[in-house]
Amino acid sequence: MHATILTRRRRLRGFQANTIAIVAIVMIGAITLTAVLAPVLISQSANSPDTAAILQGPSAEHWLGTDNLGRDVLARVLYATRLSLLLALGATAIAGSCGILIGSLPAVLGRAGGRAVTTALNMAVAFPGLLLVLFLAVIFGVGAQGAMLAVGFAQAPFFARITQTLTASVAGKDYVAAAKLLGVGPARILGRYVLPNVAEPLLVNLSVTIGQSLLVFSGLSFLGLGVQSPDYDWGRMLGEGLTRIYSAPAAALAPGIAVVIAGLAFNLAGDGLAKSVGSGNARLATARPVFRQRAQSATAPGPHADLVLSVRNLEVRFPARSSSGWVRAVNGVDLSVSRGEAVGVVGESGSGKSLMTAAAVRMLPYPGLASADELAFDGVDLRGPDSPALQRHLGTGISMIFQDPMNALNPSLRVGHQVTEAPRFHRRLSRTQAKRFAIALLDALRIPRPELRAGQYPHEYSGGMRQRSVIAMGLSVTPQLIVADEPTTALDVTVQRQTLQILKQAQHDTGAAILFISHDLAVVAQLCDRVLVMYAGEIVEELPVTRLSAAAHPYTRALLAASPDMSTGRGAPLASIPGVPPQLTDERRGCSFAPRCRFATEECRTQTPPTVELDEGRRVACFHPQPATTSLTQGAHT
Amino acid sequence: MITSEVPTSVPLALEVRELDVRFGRGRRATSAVQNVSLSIPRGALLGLVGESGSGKSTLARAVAGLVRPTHGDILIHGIPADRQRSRRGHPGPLQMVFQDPSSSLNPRLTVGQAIADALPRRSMSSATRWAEVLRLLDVVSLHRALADRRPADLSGGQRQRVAIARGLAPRPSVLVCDEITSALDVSVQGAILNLIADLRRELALTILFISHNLAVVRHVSDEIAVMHQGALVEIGEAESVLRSPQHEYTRSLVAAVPDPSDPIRPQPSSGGFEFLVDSPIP
Amino acid sequence: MNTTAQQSITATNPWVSFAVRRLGRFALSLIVLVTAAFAMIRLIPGDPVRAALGSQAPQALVDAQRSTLGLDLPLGEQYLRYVGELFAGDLGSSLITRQPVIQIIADRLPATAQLAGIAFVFTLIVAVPLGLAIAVATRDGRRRPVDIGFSSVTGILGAMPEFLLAVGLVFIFAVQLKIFGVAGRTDAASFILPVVALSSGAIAILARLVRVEAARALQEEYVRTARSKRLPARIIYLRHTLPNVLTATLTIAGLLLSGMLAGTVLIENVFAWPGLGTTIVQSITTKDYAAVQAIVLIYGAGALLINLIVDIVLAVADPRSTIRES
Repeated sequence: MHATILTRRRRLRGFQANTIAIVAIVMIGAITLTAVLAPVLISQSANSPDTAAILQGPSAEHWLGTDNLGRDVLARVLYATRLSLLLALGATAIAGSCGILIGSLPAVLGRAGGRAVTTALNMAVAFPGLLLVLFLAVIFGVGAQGAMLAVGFAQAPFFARITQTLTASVAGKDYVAAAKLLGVGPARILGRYVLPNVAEPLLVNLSVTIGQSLLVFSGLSFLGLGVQSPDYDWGRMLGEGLTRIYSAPAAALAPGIAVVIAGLAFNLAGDGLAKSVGSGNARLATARPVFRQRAQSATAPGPHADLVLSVRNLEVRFPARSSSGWVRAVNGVDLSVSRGEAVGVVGESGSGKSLMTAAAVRMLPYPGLASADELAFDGVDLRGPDSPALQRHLGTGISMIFQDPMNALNPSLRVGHQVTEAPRFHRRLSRTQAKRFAIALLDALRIPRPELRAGQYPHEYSGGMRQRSVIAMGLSVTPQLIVADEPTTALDVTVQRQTLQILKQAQHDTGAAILFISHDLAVVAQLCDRVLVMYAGEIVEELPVTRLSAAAHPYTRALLAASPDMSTGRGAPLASIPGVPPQLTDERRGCSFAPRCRFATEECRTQTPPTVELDEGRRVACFHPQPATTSLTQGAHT
Repeated sequence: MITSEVPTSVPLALEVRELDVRFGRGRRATSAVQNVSLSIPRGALLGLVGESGSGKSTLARAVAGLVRPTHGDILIHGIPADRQRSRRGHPGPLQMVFQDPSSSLNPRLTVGQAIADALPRRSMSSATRWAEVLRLLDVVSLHRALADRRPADLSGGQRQRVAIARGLAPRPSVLVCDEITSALDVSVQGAILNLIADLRRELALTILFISHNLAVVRHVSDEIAVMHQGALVEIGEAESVLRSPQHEYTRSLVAAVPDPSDPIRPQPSSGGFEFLVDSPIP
Repeated sequence: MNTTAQQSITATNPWVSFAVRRLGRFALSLIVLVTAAFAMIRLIPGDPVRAALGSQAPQALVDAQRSTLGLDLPLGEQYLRYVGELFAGDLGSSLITRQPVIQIIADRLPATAQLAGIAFVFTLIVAVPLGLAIAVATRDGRRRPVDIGFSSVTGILGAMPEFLLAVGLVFIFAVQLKIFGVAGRTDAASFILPVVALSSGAIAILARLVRVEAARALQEEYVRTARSKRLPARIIYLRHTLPNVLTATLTIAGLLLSGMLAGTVLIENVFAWPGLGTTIVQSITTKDYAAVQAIVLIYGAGALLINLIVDIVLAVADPRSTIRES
């Protein structure tokens, strides 16, 4: 689901990047044209002294005035384009070829050689670039040629470093390992597997280097160490113009502006290239959601007292990127969690389970919008405007545990501090109270030597301890509802079992309700009383865990048939579901699962199946709910 | 030392003898694989299970020659593996399918090109090579039209099939599957596992199948080997290892597999969290 | 995997091993720097002494200077003599003015150090809060115009070399508006334009980096967890996000300071600042290689010292980094 939305974002970014790239290309084109044509066309006005027109200000005849020998400043700036550009290109060629060559060495040389190259590069890069340039300028001599060599070689170590990092990251990829196993020769690996995948970042850096070389070179010429008279580039013009900045400022500023424009053009080209290649960050963070109040339906009752979470007709939408409409990620979900109850939400990637749950507890990421006929937590309507009181109500009532325990803890803060951060803020605990509470919590989660551990940082904890600290963090406010989004997916199965036991015990001891999201039906069946199955943003079935084997919806049955457990027949092929879940932007008519369903009829493809209550505790949205007697694999795809 | 119970008269496709893999030097060295010995008879499938840090992936890479072992021998069909390693134009007898379908295929090559790279360039005309590519696509039940697509256009399951086709192209006798279904959705996993089972039957492949999912391993394996912190703690016929595990770790592993008919129950008294309700703030 | 017993016996204090490693690197880099400075003169094609004194100078004078510089001795001896002199604090004498170079440096270094130091502090004070504020304001794609505006301005400023900006500032404020003087280090106000010119590029680069790092940190799992605790914005941004930005910030700040040190060369030449920057350009143009050699050594040692200090500060601020480094 995230993937779908983000593909759209990536395409949008690509389009925007193309605008940048287009602007840059136009600018570079203009510069190149000037470099080629100016020396041919305006050599006269740029280089012939005119004693009658010395140091004139801007006029109709000389748009930027004249310099101390009566030569037109604008013409000189345009004329200088060729030399400035050529020198920058020359320096880049040196930096690029040298750098890429040296940077590719570690991949070829093996460990010792590679280490030596890396150390040498690190040392060279530790010195500021300008210092290297000055050093080399002394050796290669003052003048355009020497300066070009100096600027080129000074930038080579930087280029080598980039090349080395890029080749190293690609060389470690599985597809390179696979190629080696397949007997692909080293030359072919370099040419077809490594270089094409580093070409783009390298090109970006080459473009930026041209811009950089231009700037550094103009600095050298400015200082008098670069181009020598009677030749001139923009830098030299700047240096000469500076001394007369009071009388003829244009002669100093114009070349400066030219340098900036040219440098910018190449930097932008690099940026444009980079953006069209790179990908945006994949995670949508959270924000305060905005609720649109939908018309109350006639049968809407008030929130029930014994329901901890009560949701009716929840819809979640995201703005569509390619058009001006909306993409519906969650479509009319009803959900209720009673006090002390454990409810599971099962679905595969793209089902909308995470977004649905996030919206239900006011944690929907920007720019999502949610609406519901009813949305209440512990008696409080969550659809109203935000307020500190509401935040406190949620902060002390709901705890969330996410998928990756390794990263849920802030590496820069001590564990004890993080574990009691919520009660300290919402319940105004004193420092001493919080400290003792932290120790008590860590102890309850069986973390050894809690007095010592509370003062430690997360990286000093093992993975299992980190997971337990995250749970301690969740229990610290004694919540009414614990929302756990795939908390055990990334864990080893033995750690998973411990985690589930801890959650169950906490539920029993404190009376907290649990909303447990997972793709794994078996795990949900172990912990929860009731399970909701989601597909393409809708709940397709709801049933007690004890009756899972008698699931009615074809999707639920297919999921059950596709996951082997310890008693599945070993000879029989496993079931699977052909096809892929629908894209959220597709027009949906009829049942979302129909294209992949063995039992689909014409009715399924045209009409949306209503949710019917099969019997106590079982609801299903299907025109052909399967009876319990048929075997799970019958009719399934194998 | 734990050894397989395979009788010595059976021809062994893969043999690992006292394998050690250590990383780092001196005092900071860590041992990823410690003294592991196992063997797989021709045409059999050995399931290797373990949790994170068990060393199973390192073992797989060492067997494939991608990681240099510190000590020990690897033999394929009785011949030392490093005499049979892949060289230019000569793929070895052992091929590998990796876990992550998004990084195991070169993003720049089309599906057809990726598979074709696995076929010998000299001895085959390009027409024959292309015919073989299409045949392999059929073998893994992929639509022939996908041959011109790039990995970015394919789903995870499809990419894994391409990786399998690529691995089969050089007609290996041993296939190492490293967590090939772990990154896939449940609804797709079954098809891949069925494909592996079919290929094994039809091509008489010897397979080393690595996974952390005990139920999946049980479903496809003849024998199961269990690794824990670098060491091989148990090995034997699949059903017996799981029904009556000998090693304590194996037992805890089997007990931890979620069993829907055995839900998790809380301790009825003194669970440890009551203080949160009674007197939370000390 | 080592057993606990083994670990306690063989484990070394990570601080000690860090100190050894880092100081070793510093020493090695210093040796390379000294050798490079030594080699610089010897790599110049032709006769550097003749070039400095001019073609008209008498041969006897040239030979005498060569002898003073030790250029007639075998290379190994020259090197040892050079290193020995360095340890004794003797950086040679200017080929042109005969003044001891160390005197020149003592006269001119303070002005450069002041300029670079003030510019650095100014950069930190402006760039870090700015980058964080922009990251917060534009998170998740909010306020695209602000995002584009910030990127454009910092892009231009970061790409513009300091001396160009300096010339522009001189033109606007000194020539047109006549607020500041054009050149020289006179009073406190005369610091303003040079400092702004020197630091603008660095502010742009650092603010961009802080913004990128803060945006990355905002996407991390621990920020999502902090939000799920319904903590207020100030705690999330200042307590949870900012500390995680510091490592990358410090690293780049160190590089920027080194760059600023080198940038003073250009800025000083624009503002006629009485520092080492004007001296080194003059020395290169007049081919006073003894002075050039010594000043290059000073700049290089300064850069290495900055790197060392940054690494130490990083190690103290973020203990994970020392343990991770190998």
